[in-house]
Amino acid sequence: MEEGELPTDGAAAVVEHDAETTTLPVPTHGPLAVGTRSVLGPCGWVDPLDPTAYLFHSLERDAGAIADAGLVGRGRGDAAADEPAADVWRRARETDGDPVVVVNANDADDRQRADRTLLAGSPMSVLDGVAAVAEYLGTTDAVIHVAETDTELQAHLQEAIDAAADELPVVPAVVTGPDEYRAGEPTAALEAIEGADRIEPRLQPPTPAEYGLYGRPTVIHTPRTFAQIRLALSDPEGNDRDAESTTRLLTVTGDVTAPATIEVGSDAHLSAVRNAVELEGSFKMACVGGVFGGLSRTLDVTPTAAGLTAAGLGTEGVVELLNDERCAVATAGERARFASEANSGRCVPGREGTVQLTELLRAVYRGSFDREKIRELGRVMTQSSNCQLGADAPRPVLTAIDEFESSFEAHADGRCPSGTCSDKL
Amino acid sequence: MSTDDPLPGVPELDDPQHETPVTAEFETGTANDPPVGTDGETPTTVTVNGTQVTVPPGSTVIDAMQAVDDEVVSVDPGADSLDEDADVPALCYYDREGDASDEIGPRSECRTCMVETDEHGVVPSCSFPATDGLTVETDTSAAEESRSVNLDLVLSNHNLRCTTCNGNGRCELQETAINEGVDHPRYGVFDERSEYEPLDDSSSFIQIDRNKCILCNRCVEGCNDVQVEGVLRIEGSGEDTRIGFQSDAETMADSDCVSCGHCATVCPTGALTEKGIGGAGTLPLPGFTQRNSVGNVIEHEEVETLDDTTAPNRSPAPGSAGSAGGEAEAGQEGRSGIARYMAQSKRRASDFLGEYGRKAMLAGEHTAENIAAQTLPEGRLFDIASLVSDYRLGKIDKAETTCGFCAVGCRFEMWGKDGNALGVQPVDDPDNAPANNFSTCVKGKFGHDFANSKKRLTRPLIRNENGEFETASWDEALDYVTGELREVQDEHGVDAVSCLASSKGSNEEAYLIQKFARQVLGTKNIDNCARLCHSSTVAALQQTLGYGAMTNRINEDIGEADAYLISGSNTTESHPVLATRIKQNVRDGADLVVFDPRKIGIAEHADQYTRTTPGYDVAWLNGLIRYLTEHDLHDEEFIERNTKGFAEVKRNVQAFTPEKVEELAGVSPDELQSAAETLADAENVVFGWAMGMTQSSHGTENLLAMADLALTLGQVGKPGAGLSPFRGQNNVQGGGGDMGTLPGSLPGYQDPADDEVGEKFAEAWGERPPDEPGLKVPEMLSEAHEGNLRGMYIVGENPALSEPDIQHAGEALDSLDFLVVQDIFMTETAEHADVVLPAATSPEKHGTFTNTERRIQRVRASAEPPGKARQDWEITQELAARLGYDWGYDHPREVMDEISDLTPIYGGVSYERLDSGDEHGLQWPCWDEDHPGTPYLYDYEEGNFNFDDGLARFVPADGGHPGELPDEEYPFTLTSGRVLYHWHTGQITRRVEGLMSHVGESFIEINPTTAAELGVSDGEYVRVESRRGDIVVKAEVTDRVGDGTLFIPMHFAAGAVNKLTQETFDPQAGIPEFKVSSVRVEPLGPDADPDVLRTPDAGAGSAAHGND
Repeated sequence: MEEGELPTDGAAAVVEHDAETTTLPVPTHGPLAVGTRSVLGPCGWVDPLDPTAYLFHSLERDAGAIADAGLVGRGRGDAAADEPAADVWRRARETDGDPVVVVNANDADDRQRADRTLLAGSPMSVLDGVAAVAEYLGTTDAVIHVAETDTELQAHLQEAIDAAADELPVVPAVVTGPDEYRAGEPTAALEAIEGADRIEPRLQPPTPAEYGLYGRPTVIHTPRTFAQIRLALSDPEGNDRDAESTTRLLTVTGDVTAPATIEVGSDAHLSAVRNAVELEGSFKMACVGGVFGGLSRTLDVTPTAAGLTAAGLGTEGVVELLNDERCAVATAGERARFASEANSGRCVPGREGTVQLTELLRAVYRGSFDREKIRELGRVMTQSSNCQLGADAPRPVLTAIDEFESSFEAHADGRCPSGTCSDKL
Repeated sequence: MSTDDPLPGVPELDDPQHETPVTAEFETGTANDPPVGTDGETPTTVTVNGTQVTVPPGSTVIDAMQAVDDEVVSVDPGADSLDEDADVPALCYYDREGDASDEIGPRSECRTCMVETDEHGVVPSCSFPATDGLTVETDTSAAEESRSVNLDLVLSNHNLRCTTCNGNGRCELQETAINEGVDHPRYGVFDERSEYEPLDDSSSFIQIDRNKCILCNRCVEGCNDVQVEGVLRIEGSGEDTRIGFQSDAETMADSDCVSCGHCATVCPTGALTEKGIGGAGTLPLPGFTQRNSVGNVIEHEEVETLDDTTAPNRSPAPGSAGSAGGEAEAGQEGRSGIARYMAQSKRRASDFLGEYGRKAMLAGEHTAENIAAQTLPEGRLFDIASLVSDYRLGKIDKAETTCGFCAVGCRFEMWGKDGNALGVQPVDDPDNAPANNFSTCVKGKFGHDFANSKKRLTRPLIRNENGEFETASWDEALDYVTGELREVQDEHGVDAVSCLASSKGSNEEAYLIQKFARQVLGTKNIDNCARLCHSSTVAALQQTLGYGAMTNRINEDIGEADAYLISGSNTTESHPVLATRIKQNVRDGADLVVFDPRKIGIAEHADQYTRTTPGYDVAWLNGLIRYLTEHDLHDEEFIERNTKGFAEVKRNVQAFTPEKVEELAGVSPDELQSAAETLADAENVVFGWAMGMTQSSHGTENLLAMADLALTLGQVGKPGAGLSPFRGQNNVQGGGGDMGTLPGSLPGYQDPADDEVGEKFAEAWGERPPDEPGLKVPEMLSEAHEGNLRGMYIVGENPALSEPDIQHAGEALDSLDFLVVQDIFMTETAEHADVVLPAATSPEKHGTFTNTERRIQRVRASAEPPGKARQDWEITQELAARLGYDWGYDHPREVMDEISDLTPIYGGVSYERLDSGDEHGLQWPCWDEDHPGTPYLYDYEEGNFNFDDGLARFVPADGGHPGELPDEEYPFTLTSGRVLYHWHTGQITRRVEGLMSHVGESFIEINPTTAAELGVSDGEYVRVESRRGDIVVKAEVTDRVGDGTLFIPMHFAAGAVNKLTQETFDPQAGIPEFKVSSVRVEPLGPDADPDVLRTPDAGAGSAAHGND
């Protein structure tokens, strides 16, 4: 080191680069070469706490400059998930009252690590995006909502915010919420931020853009969305905008030696994620879209919201690779049970539907597989739940039945094809 | 979850939502939901099942669905539409109009209201906005499937034990399931006995069975948003979600519940039910009850009532008051040692037998239940349950009536069975309950049990030669009464007798008492207990505005004011339902200023609470007027246009400098300024008061000053503003004033000295009423003392306990030659009587009451008087007939016809209008049958004050010192008042176990500093002594009262505060100064004499120990 030489023994890859490079140089092959590095660029390369290492686009222009770019919200914590983010900004601008910007970064499900990766490795990008949206809304009020147990991240963010405070027109206040899956839902996050001692999602509509934090017009995005906003702001005219630059972050996890968060272009193929990690055992299926994602035998889909939804999969940026020791019935059942435990209890399909869904899967183990009854319940939960948790909860079960119907029949006959179920539920 | 520390919130961000100090602390566990419905100010048009409908701004899809014809779609749990497919149960949606109902939901919990829209897919109709152009279909397969599955999901976690459930026959889930044709719910029902939550039976009034709860959250909203009380909450998550308490309490009895009953009223199932109504619709088999069905019960601990013993719950052992139930006999007879032990053992043995029997019976019942559950489809269970409930509920007598407690005039449907009062339910149409919608207080909802008391008077009683009461026939009693009254009049002149009318009875009955006095007896001596409450209000408002009554309405004006000045009114306890309207409005942003010696419940909600020194209200009121005029904050144009006498008042108030106000009333210049500015800044101000203003030796001056203040600010004669005396008795406005039950005032406040009036009555009655004023209540008693008044006919009044210095009052009653008391119980006054006539009470009557907003409302019977007891109007008519006047009324309706003929302000009132009017009730003045009544009196622009020139009068008020000042011998100032759970002299509320379980005995509030000085600890008995006498009461150390001020409630005969109060009277109104007496206090420690505790200060048994 003292001689200007970096030790490279044991390095995954060695890449030559210019002295002025501001993003992580990537090798041409190997796991680090998977996908692209746009929003992830600074992560692991730039000093996350040094504002001078960043070019703050919000100082030049506000988010209005990209209001027509069609950028969609990322992740279940985003109030504009899979919808044009700019629609939410416009609605908040049109609504009477002082707007607020919320960064929803409290996700108790650690399958999804993209938000934390961004906040840890490139908080300035997120803060830049927050400031751009706040400027567009004409407010100085912003909040970042993180898990109360993640004190390390809280301290890190506070340091970043303090460092950026002199540079950016608006920086958020750090507020913590409980480490509960349900607190990640956007309106539940508002409840946590307001200090409610019991967290449940609100009624919608009106959306948080019209009635949000303390009833004020509120824009709620995930760190992923804010980082994308910042990226789009770097090229407001969209001259360089192509499929490559509209990226999605995916955390690849499951039966892997080490999970990885990668960035892929919208023209990519989801199967590319296989190259980013080392799978333990042989691939059986993937659960795409978080804990309530869809089970699939293949990854033959583009990672866009439209592509994933069409395939019956979830858009939460998580791909779990599951090996052949996994049983699809058990996997679906465990997730149904989790839903029955993690829901707020607010609405009947969420509270009682998840219980009955679990019971119907238990019934499979007792010899009774009523696929129509399960599908009916799943449809009703999806259509009539008050929040996304209840709506998404049936997805693993419904997709499992689609992909592994014979396995359900086998379980009803008292047999687990993968040999893993003895007394699972 | 509920015990988790709340999260910090965001201190840097503004929370624009208005909350009072009290509501800010509420933790309801529910989300801060947005307002539902369309925004903007334009109506929207949507298409429902092909039919276009236009709905007003703020509408939801369900509003639009309800706006179209029932044949297009019918909405509600009982929807039973013609086209089976087009009904939407909307189970958890509270489908009721009006202010109170609007506070409930939509929670959108059950999702049985799902409909399909072209634009947004399947949506919950109860909360989805009816946006313009929306196309709604209710009977698509997706919508139907959602409703059907969600209904079954609700049933899957519902304990389907309909035949034992208190909710049977009035359960919205049951109705929905029946109407939706549920036979076998897809997911079964909840009947895992091992998973049952214990039934919480710990409250006297409300039973909680969480096994029946569908978590619709209505109760939480009824508690927090309507009652603004903050007791219930939703807690937990997922499967553990349940209704719990905001405090640490685990049971209803341990919670801070005030038993308003809203939770039970709005509960759609049998989860929260009124114990009084109990299993009105269940199988009438012994033991076949909800309690036994659930099995595991948290029991209620009974307390003593006046029906058990004359001094309930008074025991020297600390903490034992609540557990003394059932030992009345032992306590009364002072049993000790072995006898007491034997009695306890006997009770334990019978408890054991009871328990054994109960277990055997439980086993049987559970077996029957299980067999039924296992062999019958759920649909069949519904059929059986609904057959049972149809039959059983068909046996219930229901009548829409007006509450007989306070003068807010709440209306509800009273349920009766076999002549007994069971309980109350909301009226069907909220328009018929203009003051309260479904809202009630503990007394109105649960306090009617007294009517069923085994201690009701059932036969006439005549005192024999030995001084004992003997039962008599009505003929004997009535003949005796008329003979005695005539004899007294023959010997001592017509004015040697007097009548006291009741403010609790109906207008018709009160009218007849004054007619009896003036026409039949020919005496000028007629008065009523309003003398003791608002006579000074009436005197002051008549002098300043013209009418001695509230100028405005409750809901529409008090409920909508921008600011309040409330003084001398313990509103949340004395007028609870009216208080909830104020609390709601203050929560929504109105300013509340409270001046009072005690930091009462309403003060907890106030923006400004100022503690005053008792007895000096004129000082701070004049001080406010001085400040306003000095700073040009008065309404000069209004004063110029509509009043006279302002200059004199302005001159007069100059003496009340801020320094002087502070010296006299203890109000600092800053507080004076802040109150003045709040009131001056507000668009519309309501001035509210009660006994704290009126019961003073200068009560009339207090209210003159209050009226002067309102006139100074120009706050009368417009919506949302006015002078609002909160009147006490249910019918004190009508029966205590309007009906002419006052010396010197004929019905409708007509002057008997006016020849035109006199002749009108002479023509109708055949006798001209005496033209000079007669004796006021306190004068009657002093004249009785003097031997000038010899006979009294007292109806529904209890002066032996309600008068100041009751020992003196008791002696006065004893010195009468003849006393006849007409009442429903052997009251403290009846104990002095020669004849006692058993009468009827409000749930047993037909008639009208006039509430505090001058609204004349119908009262209807759902129960019958017990035994030989009779209607009051019939008794008075019988007496009149025996004295030669044949009135010939067949129904109170005919009495009202006579009232409207003779009383101009009631000129347009008839039963026909009251029974069928579009808007319920009529507010006087109502001049003729085409007059719509008068919502608020006077007119801000035009004046129209009730004087020939139409101008209001400013009348200077000076105040002065109270009749008694603290000194070395009696260093403390005692004030008196009420508690939520009791009524006046307590004759009706001390008999209701549940009310006694809230407040079971008299007590004294002592400030912690005073208590420390005296060495008094909380819960200890103390002797309180004044120059008139002494009583023993339990100490409650609290900073509700200030240092040196004490408070004792007026409701109890054991620990009777009026043994201490003094006979100083307001010179104009004759109202006694109950609110100020000088006393001293002595702690008694654990050695308080049980015999003293068990001996009431008035009434039965008091003679033996009294007069010491």
